[in-house]
Amino acid sequence: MSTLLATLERRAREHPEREAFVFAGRPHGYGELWAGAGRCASGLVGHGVAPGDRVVLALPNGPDFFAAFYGTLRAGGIAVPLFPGSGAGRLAAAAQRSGAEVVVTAGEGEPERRAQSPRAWAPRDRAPRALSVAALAAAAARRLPPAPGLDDVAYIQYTSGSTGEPKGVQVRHADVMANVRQMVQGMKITPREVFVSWLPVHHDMGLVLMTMVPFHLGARLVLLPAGLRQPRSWLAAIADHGGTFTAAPDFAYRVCLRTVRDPGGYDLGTVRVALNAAEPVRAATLRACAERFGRADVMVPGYGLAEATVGVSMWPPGTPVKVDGRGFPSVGRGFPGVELAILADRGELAAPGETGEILVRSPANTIGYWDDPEATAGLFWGAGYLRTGDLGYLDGDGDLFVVGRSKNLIIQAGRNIAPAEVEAVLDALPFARRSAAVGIDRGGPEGEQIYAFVELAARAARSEPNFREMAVQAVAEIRAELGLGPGRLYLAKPRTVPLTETGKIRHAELRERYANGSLAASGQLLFPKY
Amino acid sequence: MKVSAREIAEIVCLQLGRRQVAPQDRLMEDLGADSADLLNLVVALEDRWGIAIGEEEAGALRTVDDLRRLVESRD
Repeated sequence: MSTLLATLERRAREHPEREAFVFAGRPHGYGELWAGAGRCASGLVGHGVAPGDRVVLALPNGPDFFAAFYGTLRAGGIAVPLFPGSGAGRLAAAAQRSGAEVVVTAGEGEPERRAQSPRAWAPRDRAPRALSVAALAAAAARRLPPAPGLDDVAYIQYTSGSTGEPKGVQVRHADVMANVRQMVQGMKITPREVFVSWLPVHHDMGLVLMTMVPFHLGARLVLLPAGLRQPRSWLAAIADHGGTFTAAPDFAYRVCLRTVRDPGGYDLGTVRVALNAAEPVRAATLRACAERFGRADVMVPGYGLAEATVGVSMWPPGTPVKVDGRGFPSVGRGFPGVELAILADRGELAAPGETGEILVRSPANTIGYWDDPEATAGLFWGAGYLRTGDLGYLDGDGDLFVVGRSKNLIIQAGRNIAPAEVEAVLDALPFARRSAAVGIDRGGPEGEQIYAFVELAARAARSEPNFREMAVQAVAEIRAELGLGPGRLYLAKPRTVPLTETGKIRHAELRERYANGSLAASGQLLFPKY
Repeated sequence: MKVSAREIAEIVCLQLGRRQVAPQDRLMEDLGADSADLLNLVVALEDRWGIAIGEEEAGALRTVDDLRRLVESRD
C-alpha cells in the first residue's frame, strides 16, 4: 500500500494533464497540483520546516489549500488545517497547542495580519511566521527530505471534544488510506464517479471523503467554495457536471428545501449518493428531499468521526432507509473492516436494542490526540475499541441507530462546537462574570442552535442602558473568533448558570431550565426580553 | 402589526453583532449573514413578536426591510 502522496506523485508523472479537480470553473491537472505542492514543500523547507514539524493551514477551499496541504506532507511536515475564518485568538491557540512555527494563510491580507497581531501571539516567546502560499511558492528550490511513510502522521484534525479545548486528532498516512479504501468499498465508489462538494476542505468529511477519495481513484471532483450561501450553485454544479456523489449535513439539505421550492431547472438524475452526515439525520429531511428532488433512496444517512479518520458507516444507497419507532433513521452497518459495538452504562457490551455509547473498532482508528496522553487513554476501551461519545444502539440486524450524544457538544449548521470554545470568548469580555453555552434544538428548520448566557458582573448588571451595546459586542466577538453567530445570546444576572460543587457548569441543567421557561420566569435573563 | 425600522434593526444588530444596519442592507451580501444566520434571525423575530413564519416566507428574505415587511404582514 502506498501513501496518497505517492499516488499523487505517480499520477502527476504519468498523466500530468489529467484533471484532478475543477474549482471556480477552471480545471486543475495533477501535474499542476503536484508542482504547486512541490513549490510549497521547498518554501517550507527553506523556512526551516523539518520532518515532523507542524504547519498550520488557514486556507479556504481552492488550489492553494491543496498546494499547501500536500506541500506540507511532501516536506515531511504535519499539516494542521483550520477553519480559515478563525480569529486571531483561535489561530494562535491552535499554533500553540500544536507547536507549529509556521502558519500558512491565503494572502498578504487580513488573515495574515490577524495571525501576526501582537494580541494573538502575546503568550508565546517566539511568534510563528505567517506565510502566504504565494510567498512559499516563490522561495528558491530546496532539496526535499525523503517522502513520509505510512506510519508517519500526515495531519492533525482539530475537533471539538466534550470538554475543554478542541483536541487534535493525529491522522497517519496509513489511517487515511485505510479509511479511503473502506469508504470506496463500502459505498461502491468507482473512478467514474463525479464528486461535487462545497464542504470545507479543512475538515474531515470535506477533506477525506470528498477530496482524498476522488484523488485516490482519479475520479472527477468539482470543488466549490465552502459554505452554503447559494444552495442553487450546489444544485447547478451537480446538474452541469453530471454529479453522482455529494455529501452535506442535514442542515444543508434543509436549507435547500427551504430555498429551492422548484428544482425543475436542475437535472439531478445523475446523483447516485447524497450522503447526509456530520449531524443528527432527520427522517423528515430524507422524505422531503426524495419528494422535492424526485430521487428516492439516493439520500443516505452516514456516521463518522475524526477519531476514526472520518467515515464509519452508511446506509446502503438505493435501498429504503430503515427508520425506527422513534423516528431515528439508521446509519447502516460499518464499512468493511469496521466493527461496531455498544457500551452499556454498566460497563459491558450491550445487547441488541440496548442504548449505550457507540464503540468503533476499525483499521482507520487513529492513534489518538496530539500531545494529550490523558485524553488519548480515555479514547479507547477494551481491545481496541474507540469510544465515540455518541449514544446509539444496534438493532437485531446489526444496523446502527445514533440517538444522541453523551457529550455537551453543540452542532450548529453542521459544525461541531464545544461549549468551552464559546465560553472562552465570552469569559474574556470585561463585563462578563461567567458564561455558558448550550445547544438548543426546538425542532424547527434551524436545527440545533448555540444559546449563550453571559452572567454580567455586578456593576454591569445595573447599567441597563448599556445592555444592547454589551450584547452586540459579545456576539461580534463570537463571530470574529469562531466564524459563526449564536442563535441567541442572553445577558443574565449573576448566579444564573448552575454549577457543580467544584464549580463546573451544569450544561444539561441550564438547557433544561431555559427550555422549560424557568430562567425567564424567575427574571434571571436581563436582555433581550424574548 | 406595526413595527418600526428601528426595532427590526435592533434585532438584526443583536443577531449579527453589528452596531448599526440600514433598511436597504442585504442580509447576506452586505451584512455577511450565512444561511444559519438567516434561520436564527427568523427564530428571533418569531420569539420577539410571538408570530410564526413559514419556510417559504423565510426563504424569500433578502434585506433588513424585508424582515420588517414580513412582521408587519402579521395581525
